[in-house]
Amino acid sequence: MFQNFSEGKIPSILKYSKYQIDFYRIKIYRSMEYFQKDRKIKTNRILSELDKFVLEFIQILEKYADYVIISGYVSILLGRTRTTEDIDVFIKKISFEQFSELYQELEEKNFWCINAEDKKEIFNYLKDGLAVRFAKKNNSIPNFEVKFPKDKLDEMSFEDSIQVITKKGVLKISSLERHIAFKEFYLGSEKDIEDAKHIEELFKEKIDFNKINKIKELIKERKNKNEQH
Amino acid sequence: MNNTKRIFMKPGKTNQEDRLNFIKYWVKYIKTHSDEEWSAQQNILINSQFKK
Repeated sequence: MFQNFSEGKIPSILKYSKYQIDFYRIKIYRSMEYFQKDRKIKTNRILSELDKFVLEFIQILEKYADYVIISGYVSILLGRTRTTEDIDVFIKKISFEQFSELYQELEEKNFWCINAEDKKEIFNYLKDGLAVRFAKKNNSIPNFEVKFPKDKLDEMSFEDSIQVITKKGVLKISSLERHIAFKEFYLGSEKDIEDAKHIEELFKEKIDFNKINKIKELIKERKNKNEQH
Repeated sequence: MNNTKRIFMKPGKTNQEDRLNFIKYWVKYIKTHSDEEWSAQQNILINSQFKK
């Protein structure tokens, strides 16, 4: 279906746009829409400084590693009224050589790592299952919290990710169901519950609640496993 | 004059309920306004985090 759209069978102006008519103002406008079969969300939002920061970082990162953005920024990108100090992202495991190239370009583009300067040390943190943070040079906030997936449950985030099409580029986020399940049943702070509620309210007609329950079970299994160790 | 039908938020009995009611209210706002309109308001908050 998406392929047909891309081949120009409908005018590009209609592509991934939901048009609404506001009869009070006799005005037609475009609003965010989720095309769940294509796993795409189209938004015409005005990009914030945070969005621009995210796009700049991701456009470097994606040259070297597959990624998926998770947690709070997902809700913010989709309209939640809060800000954040960090953007969480999983990257698929890469070699030290690939990481070195990524790190070099990040440095060239004015980013630094706030955990260490030596790339071997930073890479070892990642290999040890720890998160490393990148910010704009001479800054600490906002920053990207980058980590390798630590188990199958984390790796699944790549399999059902969603592309969010913004005016200045595409961002890959975790599925809405996964986002809600983790926020509600794994993280669980008041802020996390509110992040989940925002997404649930916004897309309630299109969310697969059975899938949320299945992910919830997997989270429970992980918790039990962690408690045993 | 803005003739758009207004959306109202139900006050919550607790701070937590009030915050959740605001989320419902804000989602209704998002659904009934253009992306440009709601994001301009959201960006006032987000952009305040950044240095000028």
